[in-house]
Amino acid sequence: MSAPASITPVYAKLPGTGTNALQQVWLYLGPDHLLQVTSNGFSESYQRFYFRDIQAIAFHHTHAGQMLNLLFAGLAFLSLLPGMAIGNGAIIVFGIVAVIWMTLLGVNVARGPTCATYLTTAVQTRRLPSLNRIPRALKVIDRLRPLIATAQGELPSAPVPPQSPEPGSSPVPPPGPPAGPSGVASSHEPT
Amino acid sequence: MTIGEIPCPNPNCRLPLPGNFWNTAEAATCPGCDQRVHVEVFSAHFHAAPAGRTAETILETGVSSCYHHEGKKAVTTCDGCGRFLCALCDVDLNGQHLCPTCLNLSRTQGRHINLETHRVVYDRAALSLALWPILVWPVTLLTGPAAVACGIYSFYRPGSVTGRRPWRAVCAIVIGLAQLAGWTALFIRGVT
Repeated sequence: MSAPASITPVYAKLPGTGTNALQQVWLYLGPDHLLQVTSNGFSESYQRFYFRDIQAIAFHHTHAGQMLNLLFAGLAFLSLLPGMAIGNGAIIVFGIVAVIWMTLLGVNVARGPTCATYLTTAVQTRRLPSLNRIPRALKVIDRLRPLIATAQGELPSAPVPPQSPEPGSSPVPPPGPPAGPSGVASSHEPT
Repeated sequence: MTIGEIPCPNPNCRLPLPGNFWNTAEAATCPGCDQRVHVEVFSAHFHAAPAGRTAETILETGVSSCYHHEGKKAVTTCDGCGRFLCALCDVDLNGQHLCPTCLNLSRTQGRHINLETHRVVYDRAALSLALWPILVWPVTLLTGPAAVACGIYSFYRPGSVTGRRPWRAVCAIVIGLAQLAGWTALFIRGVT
């Protein structure tokens, strides 16, 4: 008895890399699913999120980018101090170090504010570490939206009575599909 | 989580966010944690969970029965082994109908790529072996040959699920050979 072989799907890499000390995480777009690849440099772990199962993708802003900005600016300033104290040619040497820190600061600013993104299915909520910048997360969501809509069908657009929860309370969500009145699919399209 | 309820993505908050927070063009401020949040909800959120299938009991003669459940009516055949399967035993995997045994075989033999959750990627391992030990350079006496061996071995093993990248193995072999050449030169100089 032999199990049938499957066709190898073709994957397209989505922008973004999530890193920590020991692992790197990437997101790939498959024919009918998202593939999250976690690599430790020797082996890879795979998590698949099928388009038909994705219920929500949500992110919240984080302060990691601002912390990095402060760190790089502080290091640039500290790099200049000894140069100014010693004077003469030392300012050039320490100036070069300061320019490196300033370049990193510029790159961090250019990449945009940071966020933490989560994907929800019926049975789990998983963090997507590669989507750690807001512009990148929005770009990927824009790319995924039509694919998910094709797999699941469009959200019916019904007007939603505006309501905001009080902090600490648990408001009852509106019954039925609560898509925004302006239409879900076009919410990020350029106007 | 019930249908119609999406919690704040901030793991320290998890306050259920109502519909007017969903699919908005701009991020909204969560009233629970004061964090700016963006929530994109899709229609699967409103679908009820599909009901589990049950196998039909055979009530008449001349009807094929399931290989695994004698009293249950066969509804399809396994694409792996050809055995008759009832609705309970039929596992639909991307259009293929498999029995639990063939499904398990597919997973253990790595024949169905969508069932793989872990894989050793030898080309990446070879490059890691070639590069990282340079930080602790005496170790390259051992890791250099290992990188070359691992790089060569990677040509005979499947690459990443996302595609094979032979340049990694080639780089690892070149760097590993360079390390070996360096050690050889060091030993020759030490002897003479």
